[in-house]
Amino acid sequence: MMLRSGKVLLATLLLSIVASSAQTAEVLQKTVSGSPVVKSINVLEFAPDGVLLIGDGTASQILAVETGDTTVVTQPKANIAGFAAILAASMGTTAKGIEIVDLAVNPASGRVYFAVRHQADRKYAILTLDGSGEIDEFSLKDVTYARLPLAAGDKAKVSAITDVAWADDRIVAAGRSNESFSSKIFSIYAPLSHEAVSSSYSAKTYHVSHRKWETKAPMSVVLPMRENGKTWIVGAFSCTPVVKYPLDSLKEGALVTGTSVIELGSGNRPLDMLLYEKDGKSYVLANTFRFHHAKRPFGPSPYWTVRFEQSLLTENENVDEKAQRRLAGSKPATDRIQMVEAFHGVTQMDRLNETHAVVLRKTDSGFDFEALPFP
Amino acid sequence: MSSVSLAIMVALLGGNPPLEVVHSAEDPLHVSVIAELSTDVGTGLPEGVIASKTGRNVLTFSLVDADDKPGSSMLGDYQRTGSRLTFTPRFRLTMGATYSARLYSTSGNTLSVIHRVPTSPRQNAAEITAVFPSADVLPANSLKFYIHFSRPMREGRAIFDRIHLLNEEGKTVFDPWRRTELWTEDSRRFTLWIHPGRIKQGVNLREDFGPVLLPGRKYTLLVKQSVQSQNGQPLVDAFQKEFRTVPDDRSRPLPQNWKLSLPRVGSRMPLRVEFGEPLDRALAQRCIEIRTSQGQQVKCHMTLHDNESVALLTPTKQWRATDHQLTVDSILEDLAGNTPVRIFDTDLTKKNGVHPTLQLPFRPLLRND
Repeated sequence: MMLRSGKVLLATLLLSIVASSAQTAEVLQKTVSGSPVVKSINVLEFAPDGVLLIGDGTASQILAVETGDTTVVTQPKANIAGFAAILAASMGTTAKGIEIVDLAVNPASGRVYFAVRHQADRKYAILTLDGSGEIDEFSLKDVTYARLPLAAGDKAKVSAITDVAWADDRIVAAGRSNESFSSKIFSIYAPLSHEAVSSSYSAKTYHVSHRKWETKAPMSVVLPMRENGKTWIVGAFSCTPVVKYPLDSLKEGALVTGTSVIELGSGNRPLDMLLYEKDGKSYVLANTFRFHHAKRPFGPSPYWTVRFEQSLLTENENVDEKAQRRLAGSKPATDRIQMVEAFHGVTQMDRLNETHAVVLRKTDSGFDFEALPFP
Repeated sequence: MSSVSLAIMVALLGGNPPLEVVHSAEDPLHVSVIAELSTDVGTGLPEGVIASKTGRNVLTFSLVDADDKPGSSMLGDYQRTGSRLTFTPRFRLTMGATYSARLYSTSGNTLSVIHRVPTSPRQNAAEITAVFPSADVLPANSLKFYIHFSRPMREGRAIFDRIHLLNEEGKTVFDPWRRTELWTEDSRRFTLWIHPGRIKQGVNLREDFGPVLLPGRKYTLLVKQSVQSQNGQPLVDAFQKEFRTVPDDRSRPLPQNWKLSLPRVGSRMPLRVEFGEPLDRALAQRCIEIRTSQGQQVKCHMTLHDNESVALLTPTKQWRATDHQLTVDSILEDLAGNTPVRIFDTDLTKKNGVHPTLQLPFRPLLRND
């Protein structure tokens, strides 16, 4: 593995934590103590101060839970082969007996959290991994939390939450229904209060690949981004346009119009996106799942990763139908969007620190856990 | 917990404390591991709930792998009550698996017990109880199937490789599904989407691979027996639904075109609503209501008939001689995902034509009407 020494990494991690703490707004206000009822876990994300956000689509809710996990831990091991089997053993089953639903790094500690579904009884657990390689459970028994119900505002019931993000002063989430092919965006202002009402929006997006405006496409990934003092929500859809919405435009009941800025290529479903800086430039890293990999592969795995310059997202002229495409025919259309071979097979990822991402990589025998340097 | 013990005691040292695995009378997968503490085992453990890290130093409970090696200890709760240390795994055990309970003494000895879980009884296998749309004639741009199972099913993407569409030659249609799992809360209804990228006009996926369904053809939806219920068992049997296709449906289900057959005042006869086409079953059941002209909901039981093209709304109380409205939510869909307000793959820059009527007024008939 191309890891720097643990000490250097730890120092880097500490610096990044100090930087993020300086921007921390108050996260929780009105909370309750107890054991929240979790019907499903679709997504994990962290707000500042080690507050864990759990997206539970079945119960149409987000839980904001105080983890108390704010002491920096050592860097997770560089590479743990057969990681799914190790997680599964802690749940008393084999790798086939679980599904790793999501992973998230707590930026306040560097500890990695996994949402895992035990297949035989459809119970969910949140497991953690620290630098010593020890796996533990973050139990939801007797915790301090705020339950944030998501109301779609019409008859459409949210049945899955595709992503949750912390954006400046609020939570932004994307949800979808199991009955209609559509998505809703939800926003909940901080400080978060138990049973606070969320606002919901429909998103209107220009789908570059088929030259249509439409609302009927579910957003897969949500990424907050700052640009010239303004916060934007960057969203990725299945076709795969990358779209940005001004955070300010999210108003109750609104039909929010997004600007398509990049088209990564049709036939792909984005899975995760994260921001990082390298050599003075800002990038977005996005991993995706390729439909029809068997007939038209982009690489050795249906899971492939791309990085693009963040400045592409700040374009204001070449947007929508003129949005930058990754490919011209079958060849790269620009060197500002590049496939990242070192991330082939990555099914899930999150930013670990300023230099590395932690990932789950699909292998022939299961899933490996790795810490990979940013490309 | 019952005191039924499946443990095989393997005492490595004479006088060591006993160790046993007990399971609940109702559920053999729900166990507790009970150890008797002594001066050599668990000294210094506090009374009450014990941190897992501390508990694991004394007692572990692990899945045994194919090479007879116990893995890392399961997560669970430790509790000391007097001289008893109890470990309760956080998760139910796996049918047919073998586990090892191990008790460690301060002198370095280990007492172990092997616990074998019985295999799953076959009578718990699931079967398919219904598939919607129930029609055997579907538009070629049909969007989804609802598959209902008799038992909770195992979630996971593997299901997409166990459900196929076969064409007239019996050949598998290539990769037809949107691989996004959408189950109901009880894991008994699975929403299976035909990939929208192969339905929407102008989308590269459709242009590259063609639509999943072509009009005027016969197809078979095949659910293989290998689809698993929650406990990992295959279905009782494979399932097939045969259907033929007609041209794409690119028109909106407009409520103003529906036919209402009115009930009589004072009766509990159903209001009959004919849609003129099959609608999405799940959405129809949630999106159609009856209200009085004052906006109060009239509680009704709705059933769908004739391949989900007819609804019967039976009130819980007798119809009153007053104005009513059949109200329709704008997200209601037909089989191709068209709603009253828009066509599924509509170009929003174009005008949408006729304005949908989402409230249909009606008044129950008087006896002499």
